[in-house]
Amino acid sequence: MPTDPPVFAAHLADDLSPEDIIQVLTLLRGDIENLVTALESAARAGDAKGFRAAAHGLAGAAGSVAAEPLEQVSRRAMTNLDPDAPLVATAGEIRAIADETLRQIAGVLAGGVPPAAT
Amino acid sequence: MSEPAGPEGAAERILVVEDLPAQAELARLFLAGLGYDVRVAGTAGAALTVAREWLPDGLLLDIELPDYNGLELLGRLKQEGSDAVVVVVTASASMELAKQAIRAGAEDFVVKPYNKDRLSVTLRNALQRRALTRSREALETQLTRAETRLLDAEAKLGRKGFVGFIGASDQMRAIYDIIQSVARSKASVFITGESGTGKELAAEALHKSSQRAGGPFVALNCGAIPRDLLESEVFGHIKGAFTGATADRPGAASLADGGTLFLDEIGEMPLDMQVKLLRFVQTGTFSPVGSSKVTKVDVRFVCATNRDPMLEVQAGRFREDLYYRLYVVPVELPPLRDRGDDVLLIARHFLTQFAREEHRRFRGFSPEAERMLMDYPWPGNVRQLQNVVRNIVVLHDGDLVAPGMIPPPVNRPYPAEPRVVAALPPAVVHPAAPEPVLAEAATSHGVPEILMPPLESLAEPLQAALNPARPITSEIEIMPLAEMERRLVLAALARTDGDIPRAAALLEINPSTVYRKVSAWRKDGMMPA
Repeated sequence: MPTDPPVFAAHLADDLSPEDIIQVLTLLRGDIENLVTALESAARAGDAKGFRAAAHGLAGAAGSVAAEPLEQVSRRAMTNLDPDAPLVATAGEIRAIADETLRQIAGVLAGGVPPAAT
Repeated sequence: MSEPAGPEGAAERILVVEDLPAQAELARLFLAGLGYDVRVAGTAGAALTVAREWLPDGLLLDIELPDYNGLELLGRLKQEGSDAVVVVVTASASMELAKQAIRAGAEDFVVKPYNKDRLSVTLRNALQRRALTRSREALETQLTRAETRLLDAEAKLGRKGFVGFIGASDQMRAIYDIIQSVARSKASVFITGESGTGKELAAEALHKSSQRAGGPFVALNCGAIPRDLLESEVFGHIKGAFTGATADRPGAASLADGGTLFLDEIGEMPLDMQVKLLRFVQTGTFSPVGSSKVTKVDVRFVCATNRDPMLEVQAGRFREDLYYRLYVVPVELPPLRDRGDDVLLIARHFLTQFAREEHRRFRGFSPEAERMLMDYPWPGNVRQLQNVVRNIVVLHDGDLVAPGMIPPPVNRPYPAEPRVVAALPPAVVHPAAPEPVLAEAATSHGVPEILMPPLESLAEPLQAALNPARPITSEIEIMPLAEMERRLVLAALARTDGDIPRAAALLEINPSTVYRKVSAWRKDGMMPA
């Protein structure tokens, strides 16, 4: 899914040094990957509680770097979970958006930290 | 940016409780950048361990944790007495969650994503509130210590009161010392003193100062209970023990188990009842009326009388063996006339209390009014002084109590000659202090001793009977009580120029009672229409 250039981490430059941003994004990449994997497992197991917890973590992680599409889809999954909706389908939607976010993070890590937003 | 520092100047400690490494690192970097000393825990259990050992000033706490909920961790920390401020971090902006966090003891909460400024303001405010709370608590502690030191100093220099008593005279300080000394013992205490000197107050002070303070204090006025009922009142009865005993009923002895039993006016106790009381005092056991079952209780005995107990023994009205059982530690309360400036201390205390209750402005007594209070002998002791001050407050208002506000007989010159007590039965004569007997003689007719009718309106013998401050003889005019009541009400009306509400206030009765009586007297021709 095409998205805007990776401006999502730009606001961090107001508060953190480039080295710190790299460190946070590196950790964030691992967090997102782990959370999406946990979300998919919960979906396959029909574990709504585990699904919601993973979505909650993803919303926070995505929000911290202003990755809005991932944050929004995670929040929806976390707060408006339809008991009749197939968890696996929702997990698939989140996986697609998360992969895009991970690509953007990889791009930032490879190409350098964006300039400060302010 | 100034570095956040605690009272000792060291950087304030913040524990970040967050399971996601990126989130934890972000918070750590923000906080370190703000000058805080930061540690990170990835689980609630780890956070609890760090909090116990490291004693952080604040926690940045995520709600969703792998082992258990962040709010549960918050509850545990508060339960353990941690005073660290807690700022809850959550990805959900739910108000319900925020309320839960605050209810659980969180100081504030932030919603992800947050930036460094937001975190800085939230945390700084929370820590400042904590610092203010600590300062207030420290000040309160200092204040409490200062008050304690002040009380100690007062105690050493001459205290002004003790567990309900007001008074700093040497006589009363000696009483306070005796009460404190005997409070820890289980020894029986025998309190003597004129009516109105505070015998029940002394008994209560003894109880409250003793290790039995957490137990019951049961007071029984032996003189106010019909002879036939006294045994049942003291020891209780079982159902069917006598006519009217429809159920088991515990007596004062049972009710006072583990505490103090105060037997007031013990000199009024019939001799046959004294035998039963002696057995109870000796063994701590008794049987309720109608029962053969023996009950054992743990009771401390405090007795009181306004008679001289030894004279009562000599007259055969009080058993000698019981006397020696109960008269272990005597406490003799001094009459108010012997307590010097205590009169003013007590009067000011009552003035403040009654002025507050009656919404009056009184702040004190004028020097002349104080002189009058000091010159009066107070035969009715503290109770009479209390009535006088109540009367002043009810009928007057102002900044200071003026001499004109002081009611008779306190406002009259007091004769220096000794009073005659020979006409009174020996049982009520206190050899050293006859005055309260006179007060009782007056009050036993239902006449408030502080409120005397105009002397010129009454026959001289009646004046003497009503005025404890004047000599009394055996030639008191005896008249029907109803006639005495009529004269007194008319005298009150004459003094108040026919103002029924004020007359009623003087008589301490309801105005409607005065209206009713006056109407009846007019109807019967006992009073001009």
